[in-house]
Amino acid sequence: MLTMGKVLAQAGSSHYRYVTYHPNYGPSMRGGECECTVTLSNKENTSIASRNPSAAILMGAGAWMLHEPQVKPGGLLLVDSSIVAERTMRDDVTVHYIPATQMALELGLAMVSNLILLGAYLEATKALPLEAIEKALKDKYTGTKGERFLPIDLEAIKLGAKFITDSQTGGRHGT
Amino acid sequence: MADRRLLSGNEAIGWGAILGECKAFFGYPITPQSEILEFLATELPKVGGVFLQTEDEIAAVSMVYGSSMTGTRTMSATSSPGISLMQETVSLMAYLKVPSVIVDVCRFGPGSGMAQTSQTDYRQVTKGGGHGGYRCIVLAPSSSQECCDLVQLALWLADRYQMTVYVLTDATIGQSCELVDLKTRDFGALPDKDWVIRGLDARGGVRQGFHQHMWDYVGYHQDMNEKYREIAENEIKYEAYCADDAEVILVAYGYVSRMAKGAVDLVREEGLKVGLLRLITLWPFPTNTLRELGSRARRVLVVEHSSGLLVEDVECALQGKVPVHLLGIWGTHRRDSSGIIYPERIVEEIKQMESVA
Amino acid sequence: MGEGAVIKQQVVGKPKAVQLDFMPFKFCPGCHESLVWRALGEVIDELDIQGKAIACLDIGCSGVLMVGLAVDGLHCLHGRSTAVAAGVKRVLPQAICFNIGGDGSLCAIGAGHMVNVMMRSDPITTIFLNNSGYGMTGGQVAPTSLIGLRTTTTPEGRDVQSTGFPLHLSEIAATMLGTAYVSRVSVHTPANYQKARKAIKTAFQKQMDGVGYSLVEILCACPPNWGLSPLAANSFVEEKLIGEFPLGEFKNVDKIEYTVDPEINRVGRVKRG
Ligand code: SF4
Repeated sequence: MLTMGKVLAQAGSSHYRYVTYHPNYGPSMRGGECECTVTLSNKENTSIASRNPSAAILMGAGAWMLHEPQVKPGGLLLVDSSIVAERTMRDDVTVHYIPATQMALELGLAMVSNLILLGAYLEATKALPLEAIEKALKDKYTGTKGERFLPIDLEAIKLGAKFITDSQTGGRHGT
Repeated sequence: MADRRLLSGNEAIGWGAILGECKAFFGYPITPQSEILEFLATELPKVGGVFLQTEDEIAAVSMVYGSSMTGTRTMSATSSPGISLMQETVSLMAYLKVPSVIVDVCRFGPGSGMAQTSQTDYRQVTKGGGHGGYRCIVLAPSSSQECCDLVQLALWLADRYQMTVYVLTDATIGQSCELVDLKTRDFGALPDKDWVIRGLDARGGVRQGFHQHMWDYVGYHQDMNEKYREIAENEIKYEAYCADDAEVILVAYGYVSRMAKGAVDLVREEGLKVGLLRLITLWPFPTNTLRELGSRARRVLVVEHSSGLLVEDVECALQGKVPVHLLGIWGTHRRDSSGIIYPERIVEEIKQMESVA
Repeated sequence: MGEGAVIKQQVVGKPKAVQLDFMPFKFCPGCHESLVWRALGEVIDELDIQGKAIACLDIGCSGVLMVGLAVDGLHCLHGRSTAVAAGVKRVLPQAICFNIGGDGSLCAIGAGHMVNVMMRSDPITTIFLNNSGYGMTGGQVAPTSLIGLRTTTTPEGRDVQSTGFPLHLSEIAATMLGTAYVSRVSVHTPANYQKARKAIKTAFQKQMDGVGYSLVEILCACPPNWGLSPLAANSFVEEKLIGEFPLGEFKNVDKIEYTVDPEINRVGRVKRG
């Protein structure tokens, strides 16, 4: 979750004047619940984070309970439906239920479920071109132990994006 | 083009140290400060500086003292319990007039506390921190950019006034990433360090770390009061945001001041005349500015991630002439220690306060 | 010397590095610290390091030694002189940094710093004055107090059930890889004084040669707190203190040998910027 946010912020750095990445994790640094807020804007980000974001990517039941009601009216919800069973009662937000963990397992690496959701987010919002994320991932992992996962990372982004285009054209797993 | 990078507040503090020509760092790991330590472990030796992870914060600050006495720009960074451990030597440095910069990435206290964000160290650092009735300058950045800039200012102020300068941040500022222009800041000329101790060869005439006030505590305190007055005259820093016509003044610092700024934006859209006094120096405290803003306002709302520490100084400055409200720790979005105070919560508080009135 | 006497030839004098005018002479009659004072002054003269010596004074009677030495110095808090000296040495490697402390400073409140400078092999020198108790605060029990010794906080004598066993700092130091030189000496006879002087000189030499950390433990008499006359206290060092704390050179190396295993060097976690 935090890695996804940091990669988004890094990618956004070359496209927006103001970028804020705000991580927030539970009592221990490793494992447990965590959340992060990324703000990409050309106007000064006066606040570091907002309780009512315009879009939320939710990957756990706790996150659902806390943030599903908080997304701004007219906003966007992306939910890993392999993990979160809930369905929203709200009719003022756009929701995509994406079985991201399932899809990631099919790709061969459960870890990339976050990147599938990130790809979906970018396709749904057009906040950044996919190439910007691809570049940020390459910058981050080239020359590290994570480098061998790069192809699968990039594939995951594309798969997430495709999920949105498919659903908008009436493909599988639609909202 | 300026070097512009996405940096966490902690990394930006490390950069501030490098750009501010800090040449020695002694510290001990503690969440949420450790990234500063890790950053400088890599970067400081590259610019010919000394980095050492010590056995504890007591040793760290002892080495800061020793190193600074040689004339070397030296700093340390820790988090709340570490600040408590350091106080004995901070007090000694106050007495001997030794420059030093100590960063406190505040964690939730008291006790060992929790590693998440909080502002529970306000009273400790703004009132000196240890025994003996001394003061330290306290700078409170509210963004990665300010982390980088204010550490440079802290290093300058420490040398200018020969005293300890705290940089008080929190886990939210420390871990959030924002774009930072990496620029060297110039704050003007500094007095010669004619007090350094580097061995007789460097100067001639034995010098043993005592100053003209050795054992003369009355003289020391009188002299320091003069200096404190001078600092209060020259070094107060704050940002008044939409404050000129404000009927409600928010007062905040650190990450909370950013949330308060966001709240001002939100309520201004609805036509409410709300402004913010964002403190940059916590000591010296902008008493006169606050008094002046307060005299034109209907009420003042202090927002802080603690049980009400800053509010004491605000009340003291306003002398009971304006009602002072407090949105404290109960304003966080979760009950566990990872809760933070969001702009929307501050907006609710403003509205509730105004409707009750 | 009668009135009108003329000094024809000076056969003895004070070392250059000893200063008498900075503060009044403060030691109790029969205190051995004044002998250490002289020995330090002589060694600093002999090695010609007065110009680059930096003394870190701890709290306690031993702290008075610094102001009696004509070298630059730092006033340190109780137990912290070791860490301060290490800090000075880090940023000023050309300086000869040493700290002077008693058993309270170095074995109790500042013991952690002692173990850590030894571990890090900080090339500084510690002059450790062991007089089996707290002097300045008036004779309380110290980690080094002899079993059975009566002190103001062990009025029935040091009882191991409650206050444990004497701490042997030099023996601990000798087991640590980072130490270059460790020696325990005394100054209670002229012959011992000469040995002590030699030990201090070797310790400084190790620092000057960059070998590593050096420690000289000096057994000292503290007549008032032992409740003995100066003469009896001198004998007590010989008869009892040395019995618990044997004199000798515990370590003396010209190079600290170690290896880096390349396999280990490949393992670990590093953060990338
Ligand atoms: S109290 Fe003991 S150590 Fe202190 S000066 Fe007197 S004899 Fe020396």
